[in-house]
Amino acid sequence: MNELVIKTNNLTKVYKNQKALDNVSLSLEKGSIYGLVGENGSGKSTTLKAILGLINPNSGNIEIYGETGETKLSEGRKTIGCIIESPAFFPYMSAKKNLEYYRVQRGLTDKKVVEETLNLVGLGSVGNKKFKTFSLGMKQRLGIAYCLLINPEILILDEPINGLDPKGIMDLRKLILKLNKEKDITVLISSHILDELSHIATNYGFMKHGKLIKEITAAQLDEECRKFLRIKVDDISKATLLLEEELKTLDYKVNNQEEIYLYEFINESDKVIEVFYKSGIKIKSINQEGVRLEEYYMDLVGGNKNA
Amino acid sequence: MRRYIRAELDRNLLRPYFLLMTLIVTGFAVALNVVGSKFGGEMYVDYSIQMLPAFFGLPIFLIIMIVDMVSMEEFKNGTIKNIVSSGLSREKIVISKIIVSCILGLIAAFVVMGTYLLSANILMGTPPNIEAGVLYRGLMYMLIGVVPLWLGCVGVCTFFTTLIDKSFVSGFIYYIYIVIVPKILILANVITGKNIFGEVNKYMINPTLEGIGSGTVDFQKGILIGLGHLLIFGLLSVLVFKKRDI
Repeated sequence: MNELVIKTNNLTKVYKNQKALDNVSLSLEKGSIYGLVGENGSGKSTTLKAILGLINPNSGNIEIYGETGETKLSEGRKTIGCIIESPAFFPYMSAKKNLEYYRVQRGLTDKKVVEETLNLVGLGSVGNKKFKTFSLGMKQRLGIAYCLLINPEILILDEPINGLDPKGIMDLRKLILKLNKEKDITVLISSHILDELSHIATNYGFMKHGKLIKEITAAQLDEECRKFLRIKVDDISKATLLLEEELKTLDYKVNNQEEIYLYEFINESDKVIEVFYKSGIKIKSINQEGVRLEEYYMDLVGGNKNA
Repeated sequence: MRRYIRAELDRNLLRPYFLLMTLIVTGFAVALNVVGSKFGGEMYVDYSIQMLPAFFGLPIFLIIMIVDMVSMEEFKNGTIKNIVSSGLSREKIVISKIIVSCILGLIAAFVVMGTYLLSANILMGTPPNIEAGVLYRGLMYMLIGVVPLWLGCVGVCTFFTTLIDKSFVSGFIYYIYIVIVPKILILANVITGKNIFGEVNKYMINPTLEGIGSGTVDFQKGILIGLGHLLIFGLLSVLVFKKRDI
């Protein structure tokens, strides 16, 4: 496992007898893009807020770069660029003035950074427009610009695609991947749309009713969601030999010595049947199986049409 | 913290809202002198100086606007999230807010008073046979006591802003504390005959302001009560803000 940049240990937050967070223990590895997935109200934003010091958890603790304690956490948070819930700026100030305000507040001496960051998110031409006149998509872009202003080591983005048009979503995806690959920025991104995260995430955390119910890597998720042919035959060892020698594939798995999960020839099952038939292997059943990402999500967290 | 104060001063100092507010009050102050010089017969600047303490209570209301601009707006716009998550400690955020409000309040107060006295000098002139030092000495002593009381108001107003989300409600409660509570204390003293209410009233900001203006309270007490309020309510603001979820 890579170095952990953020770790939460049994975070619990209670609002008026309702647990918004229930023993959430999340681990964010350096260099990863961690997708925090869950329905609305599942506790995603509350988790991110706790990490950023916006709410005080009732119990549990947070580590940033392995450090705990208020002073060390404050130091750690200085390296985090974040948007929580929605980008917040002064509405009567222009985009440029808003970023200039945060440039001064963050102690960045290079004045050009404001212009450069606006250009990076495609707002260079509207920098002098007031924030209150911005569309939701432009506000999100400005939020991203604010995050990037400090040249962060970690990005925390809460539902960043809300309000973005398809091109905006694609641009954001590319930008996140670019920052992750080229600048080694670790990203923690929340969404209730798993499909969106599946394009970029390397790790996932699934939340439901304030609990982190599962953490999984993208590779594991792919594995779990992968389509396959489920084949029951009378002679497993002979069948696997045929797969390797006749069909030249090693991409299969034997389950309980009863059935074979074949991850190739998904749409060419007749070919498999023919090979087995010619060799005298009796096929008891052959079905195409595997779950789509949405189905996997629905099974896990349940009940959200947006999934 | 220094950088946050600078950013906040940059944001607020040349803001039309703040400039307009200062301009309107300054205009009102100059207008008083114009009216006095035109219709008040043979009047000199000493008249304006004597009139000034009657307006010592005015910053109580201006402070609501300044604290709203500096602190409440951050809550209303959600930008406080950006500051808290940037790693600046909550104590420093509150202290910075109080410092910025104090600086803006003092700038507004001195611009208004300075223009008022300057215009009085120009329009009315100094009275014969009175030295300038003598003219302004009494006022200076009053201001030494009054300015800390204004700063105390900033502390109180910031506290209620930190405590209550709605700016109208927090401003109203601040007004009740500063202006209405002393009146209730006097009333309670009269009705119950218990001196404790009268004693408490002596430590309230508004009666002290009025006392300094009328010359019944000395400026040292103004310093004590003003800075005491600033310290206590500043501390309470920090405690409340530290516990507050954003």
